[in-house]
Amino acid sequence: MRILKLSKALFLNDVREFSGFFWPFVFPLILFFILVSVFSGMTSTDGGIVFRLGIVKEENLAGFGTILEQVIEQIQPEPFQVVVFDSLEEAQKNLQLKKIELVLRIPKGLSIAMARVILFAGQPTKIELYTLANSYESQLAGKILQSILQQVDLEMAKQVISLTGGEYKEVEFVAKPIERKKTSNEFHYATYVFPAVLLMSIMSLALFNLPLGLINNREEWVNRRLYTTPTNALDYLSSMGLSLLVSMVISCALVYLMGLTLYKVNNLCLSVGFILRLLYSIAVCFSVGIVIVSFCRRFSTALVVTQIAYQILMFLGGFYFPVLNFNMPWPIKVVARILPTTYLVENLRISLGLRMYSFSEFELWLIPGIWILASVLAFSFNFKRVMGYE
Amino acid sequence: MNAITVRNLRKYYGATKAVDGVSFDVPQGEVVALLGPNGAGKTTTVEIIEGLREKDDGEIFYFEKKADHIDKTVKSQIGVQLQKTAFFEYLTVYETIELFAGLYNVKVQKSDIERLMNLVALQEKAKSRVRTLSGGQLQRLALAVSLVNDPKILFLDEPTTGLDPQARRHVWEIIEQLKQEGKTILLTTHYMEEAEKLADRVLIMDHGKIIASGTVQELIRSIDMESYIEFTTDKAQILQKEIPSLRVTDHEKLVLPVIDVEESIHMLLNKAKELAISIDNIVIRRPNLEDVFLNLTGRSLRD
Ligand SMILES: Nc1ncnc2c1ncn2[C@@H]1O[C@H](COP(=O)(O)OP(=O)(O)OP(=O)(O)O)[C@@H](O)[C@H]1O
Ligand SMILES: [Mg+2]
Repeated sequence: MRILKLSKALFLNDVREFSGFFWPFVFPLILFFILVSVFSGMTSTDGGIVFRLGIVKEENLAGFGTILEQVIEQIQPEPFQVVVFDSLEEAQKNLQLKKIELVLRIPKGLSIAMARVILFAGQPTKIELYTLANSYESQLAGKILQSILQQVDLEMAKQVISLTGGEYKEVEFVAKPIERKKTSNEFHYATYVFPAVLLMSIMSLALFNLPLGLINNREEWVNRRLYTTPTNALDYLSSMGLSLLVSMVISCALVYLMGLTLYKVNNLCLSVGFILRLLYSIAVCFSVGIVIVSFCRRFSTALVVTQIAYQILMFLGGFYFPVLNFNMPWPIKVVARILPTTYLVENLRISLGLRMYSFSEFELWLIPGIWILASVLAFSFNFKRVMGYE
Repeated sequence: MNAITVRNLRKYYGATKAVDGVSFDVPQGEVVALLGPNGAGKTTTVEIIEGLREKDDGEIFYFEKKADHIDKTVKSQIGVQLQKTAFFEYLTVYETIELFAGLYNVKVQKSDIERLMNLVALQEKAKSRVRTLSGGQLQRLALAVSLVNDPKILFLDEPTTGLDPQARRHVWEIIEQLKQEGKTILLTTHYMEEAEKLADRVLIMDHGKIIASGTVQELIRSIDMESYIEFTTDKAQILQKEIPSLRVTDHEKLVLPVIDVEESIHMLLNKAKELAISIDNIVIRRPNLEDVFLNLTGRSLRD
């Protein structure tokens, strides 16, 4: 009860201050917006509505089949840009990598089948269309091509009737949506940066509010005032942790809301695996906070150290670009390999289907874990001084 | 019964003997003032008793029960106003009182909080944030907060320092009212008027030691002086050489402790005439605690 009441007070005291409200709840959203606006444009398709159509020609069209050939000629260069593939597999792979929006398969024996349909009203022919599930562009391209081909169908029906007076069976188009590959290198920037924005907002609370709050309350004697009541240092620390945890949850919820609605971040961010990794990250960030407060006695020192640590943990931790994949001086790479955030952000990304580095599962969990252990150790040695009681 | 008993309390900070073997009793229902100049060790003493600082040595008894460690049971029975008052800046006065009631796990009604705010005349500030309060209002809030758990013993560390005379008198009234209610109060101050006005018993502290104690009357009687002659002059040093018992106070006033007022005035005026020194603003007054301190240490309380 005591801890809940104190947490509530600490929480209110924090968020009523402008900076206490702005940094955890507003700034991450602004940052998310800026990052996505600036960087996601770099990977999107170049303007104009041009769909890339992959055609798998399993035979050269002849006879009645040339009707289809002519149609294909006419839909180029707009709205379709045609790439010819030798095998269906290769075309599908390209579709999954979003290099093309659509695959049209012209099966072996199509010309004859068409002729049979037209001349003898035989079995309907099948032309297969492959689209990408969940991709709006792909679905749209599929619809467009389908309606074009239906026009062709009608044309052919007329021809059949005038030629033979017989009956015509339509060519059947089978649209087959295929799932996007999870491990593909397909790059959705908002999904890429989403874990970084979450971690950043968690870090701003764990690295700024925790150490600076503890030091400020100690320097201002607020905690001694608490200790005159039956509240002890552990109650106070727990309350501080709880109030910051609440702030983190709110902050993350806002980032989630923005990510899911506005930027269509991969739904995997709602998975248990991702949330588990997020909770682990919170624990690790708290531990970095208590390391800072263990070694900085004064508010001004802590402020400087925190600022520097925060920037290093973000940039060298690879929040915004994969540092270790660039040609960096080796000391920077070493630092990046030691920082817990390198592993946290990568681990979160992996559970969203993005892998930047080739760390083992073991490393991903172990190195941040070492940070937690070391911090708790450092903190417990300095506990009395940090918490300001004798 | 004694609410608090302290025996041989000792606390050194390196070479500084902040508290150097202090013993005293605070009888239940009384107001005891710990009077001393800056750095005397008052705050250190009371904060050890409150359990905020670790003692190097000594014993503390609450209601005659030894308290080796000031635990939650003791803390829930005492109310504390620290020398430096700090609360959460962005909470309101009402929320602050409510929070501290919560920390003692006492159930408070809205009316209880209002009663406390009325007591310290902060009812109009109920919805104001702590950061907007003036120094005096903050002191009064601290007093209100120290009362949320209806403590048996109240520790007030310089409750009126920094207040204007009117605000100070107001705080004195509150303390007197609390005394009427039967609270035991240990008060530290370096204002002798405060001690004289409020305390049943005064402990005079200097350099970590209690150098005198008793009721105000007892302490004043102990210096065996009838009266004091105060005056100003332009040549204090010459006069001091002639009259060794003459002392300088902080306001460049000279003070002469005397037993026979009439005779002493004659002597003083004659000396002045002899040496061609002018004497001004002569006042004759009864001795006070300041004189007791001066007599004991040769220094003024406000040095
Ligand atoms: N935490 C500390 N570390 C080192 N020295 C201390 C500490 N606290 C107090 N002291 C020293 O102990 C002595 C007594 O200090 P204390 O605060 O008890 O005096 P005080 O009587 O309350 O004075 P004031 O009237 O100024 O409040 C001083 O010399 C002070 O410098
Ligand atoms: Mg003091």
